[in-house]
Amino acid sequence: MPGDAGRPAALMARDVSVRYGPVRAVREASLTVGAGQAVALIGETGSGKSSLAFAVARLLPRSARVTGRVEIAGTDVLAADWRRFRGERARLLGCVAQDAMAALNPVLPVGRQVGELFAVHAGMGRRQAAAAASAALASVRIDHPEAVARLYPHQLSGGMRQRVMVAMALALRPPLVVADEPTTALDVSTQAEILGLVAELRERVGSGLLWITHDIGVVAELADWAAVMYAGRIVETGPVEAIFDAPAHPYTEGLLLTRRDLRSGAPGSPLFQIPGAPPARPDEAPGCPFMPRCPRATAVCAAREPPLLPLAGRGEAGHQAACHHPAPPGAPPAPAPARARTAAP
Amino acid sequence: MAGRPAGRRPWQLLAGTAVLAAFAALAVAAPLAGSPLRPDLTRGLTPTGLPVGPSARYPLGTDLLGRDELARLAYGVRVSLTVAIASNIASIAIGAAVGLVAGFFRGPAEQVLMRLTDVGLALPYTLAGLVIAAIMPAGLTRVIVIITALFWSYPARLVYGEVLRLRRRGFVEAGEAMGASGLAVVRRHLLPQVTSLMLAYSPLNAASAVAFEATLSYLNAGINPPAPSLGNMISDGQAAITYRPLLVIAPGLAVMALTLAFLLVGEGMKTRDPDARRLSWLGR
Amino acid sequence: MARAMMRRLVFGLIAVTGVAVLAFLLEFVVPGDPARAIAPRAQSAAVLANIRAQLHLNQPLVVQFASYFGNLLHGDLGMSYVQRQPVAALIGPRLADTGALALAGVLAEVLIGGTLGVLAARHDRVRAAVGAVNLVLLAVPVFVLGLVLLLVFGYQLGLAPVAGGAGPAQIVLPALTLGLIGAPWYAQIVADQVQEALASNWVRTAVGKGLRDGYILRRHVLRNVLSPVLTMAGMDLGSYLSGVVTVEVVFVWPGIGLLAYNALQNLDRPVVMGTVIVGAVAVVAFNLLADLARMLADPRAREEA
Repeated sequence: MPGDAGRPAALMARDVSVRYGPVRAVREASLTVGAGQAVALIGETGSGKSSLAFAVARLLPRSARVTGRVEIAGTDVLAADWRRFRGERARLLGCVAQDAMAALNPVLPVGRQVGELFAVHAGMGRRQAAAAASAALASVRIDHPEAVARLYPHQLSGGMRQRVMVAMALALRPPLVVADEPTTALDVSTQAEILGLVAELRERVGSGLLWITHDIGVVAELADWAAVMYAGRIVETGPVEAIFDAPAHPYTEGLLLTRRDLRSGAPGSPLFQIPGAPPARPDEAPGCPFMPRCPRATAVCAAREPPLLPLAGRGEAGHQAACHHPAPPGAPPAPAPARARTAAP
Repeated sequence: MAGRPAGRRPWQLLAGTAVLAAFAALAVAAPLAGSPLRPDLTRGLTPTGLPVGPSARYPLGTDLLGRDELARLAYGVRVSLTVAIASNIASIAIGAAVGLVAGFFRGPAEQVLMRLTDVGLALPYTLAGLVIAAIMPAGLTRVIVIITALFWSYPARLVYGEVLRLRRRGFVEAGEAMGASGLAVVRRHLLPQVTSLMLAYSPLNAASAVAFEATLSYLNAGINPPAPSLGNMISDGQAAITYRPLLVIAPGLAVMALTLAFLLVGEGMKTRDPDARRLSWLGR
Repeated sequence: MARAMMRRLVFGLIAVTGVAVLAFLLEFVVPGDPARAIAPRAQSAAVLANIRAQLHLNQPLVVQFASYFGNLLHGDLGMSYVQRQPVAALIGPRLADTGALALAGVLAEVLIGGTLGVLAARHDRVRAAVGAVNLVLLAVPVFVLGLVLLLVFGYQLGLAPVAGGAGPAQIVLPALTLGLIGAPWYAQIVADQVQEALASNWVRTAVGKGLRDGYILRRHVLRNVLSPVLTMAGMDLGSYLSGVVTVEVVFVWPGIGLLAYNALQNLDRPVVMGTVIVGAVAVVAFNLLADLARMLADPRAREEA
């Protein structure tokens, strides 16, 4: 997979599974983020994308059981001693959460929350850490960083709070940044600002980026590589252009259609929706979890779950899909029966 | 009702009820234990005039005046249970009525009643109890009046909050929209909810009442000697604390066991989320 | 914020006035003749009538009330019938002793309850144990606990003085009594709040930042629990200042509570009224202080006000 030749991959996840009691939220997912590369992880709510992202950071609640192998910049994450890893984590990866208001301590000034990182990891004194925090805030284009540093999270706008999160995630220049839908809670123009900011800073710092989203629209602008998750599994992965131009999995096709409808559709026109809903317990049935919603389903789909395999006869290297009937390259993207259900205007 | 809610812990209910039943039996059988008032000057006191220790005749010994400690304890439990039941019913009835009226009618009635409730909640219980005690003759009635006067405000606030909550969920408007009269709405939609809330609260209320009765009697503001009450038995026994600590320990343990039993019943009626802690992010 | 505090201050003053009126009225329904209390051995009716005249007890209730209230506004709480001293002079030094006990008691309950609460929030087995301890502490009446401590630490082990009086050695047991009685409430609120915080996203962020558990607990989590604890502690301080009657009686601690208790037994009306009014002022003042402390501890509360 692409990336800087000399450096180890920012993230290498192999066969990662996450279970909460009997529920398997992520099943044998593998994912690589090359050094300095941006990868988008796409999926609906409940597809397991956030569980996977927090599993690689070892930031799931203790009720979650994680198996598999995860390396961040060459460091084995899951096998590492919890206490040792706790200290190293911030150097390895930064996290940007979905809801910055909930992810910041409500009773501490944001400057102190940023400064803590420098105090703990760079051994800075109080004043030094405060200065470093202001610099970090300035680097995410916050005006008057010294004044903002003294404010509490609830006194900031949503965009400002998310900037603070970005500043914390990148403060120690980690090789990997995990962003969990960081723009969903924001209005459109702020979304664009944060998106631009992350792209720019990431390049400057040289971090790899794992960007989790349900909005396939932002993927093209931001990512080099994409992975699509459905019902706890990665069902298609490949370079962004390949996925956009020649999606192989019917679910990916459906996701792209929703986006096209959004772009072209006049206000009030019916939006495309993939009919049906993801299964509640995908691991219980033997077949492909997407089968009930799939326009191309056949008998084999009910019998066996398709493995994630390289697509034969495609130009793009690394394009893989988990489907018994992948769309041939260049096929029309919209299978007619999938249009069956439309949302109310 | 099909099945118990998850997380309910019935053993507390069982243990609490068992202890209460034992105390109730003791209270009912009190006359069998002998007289709580008549001093036994021949066998109840040592030749030097000190209380005797536990023996077959006096299982808990005698008190400073040579009276049967067990008989006094049994009658004291009788007082405790009577007070618990009577003041529990009275304070909850008054509190629930106040809360219902304030929450249902709103407006000026609500303002007056809830400000009054606030005052009731802010009163320093012991001092207020002593002041009321000063204007009434000693005895069971005085204790029940004091406890009721001080204990109605908390259930009032609880019920008021519950009525407002039900209101927000549209119980009252829905009832009125269906053409029910105000009284019918209260009876059919509010009362069942309020009743179950008060049933859940009453064991805690009873526990507080038992403890407060003992406190009042200990401070000479409840049941006065020679009539026995667990509180004034402790107060009397204090004079012998160095050589016959049982005279403090026995009634003290009785008060604690009674209160604890009521609290256990209350706990047993509660449910709780067993999974709360599994969500923690710290230390694995 | 200033306006909100002003409003509360006005409400507080109204409440204090209400208590003063109530105390006055209640005291006049109390049966018993103060003149008899002052001169128990006086035989002649003339002597008693003379005492009543001196105390203005022969005047109509309204006149007595007006003069009492007028004096109150000047800080004059009247004269004790029994001790023949100004009530304010009796209350003054005792207020200091009660204040010391209240402060020590609140400190003890915050420390004991806070520790139990944090332990309960973090360890399942401790939580069960703390639940049981909490239940027992909730069940035991103050004076029973006080006597048990006195019996064990005072008489049996000889570790603490058993005689009354105010002093650094004498304060230990009554403060511990208050602390143990109050602790369950703090343990409950701290356990709930810590548990909620530990499952919050901002603790996840802090863990992600590589901070140590102890550091997160102290600097992040406890900082969040501070405001409800401060509010409760402030209110407790006020209510203890208004008279920890039972504890003071058990340990013969010479504070407001003991003063009020003795005055009630002696029908010493001015002293009873004085302690009740001072108590009400303490409750109101410390509720205000508790609000203020909450605002200082929680930036969100500052804006709400």
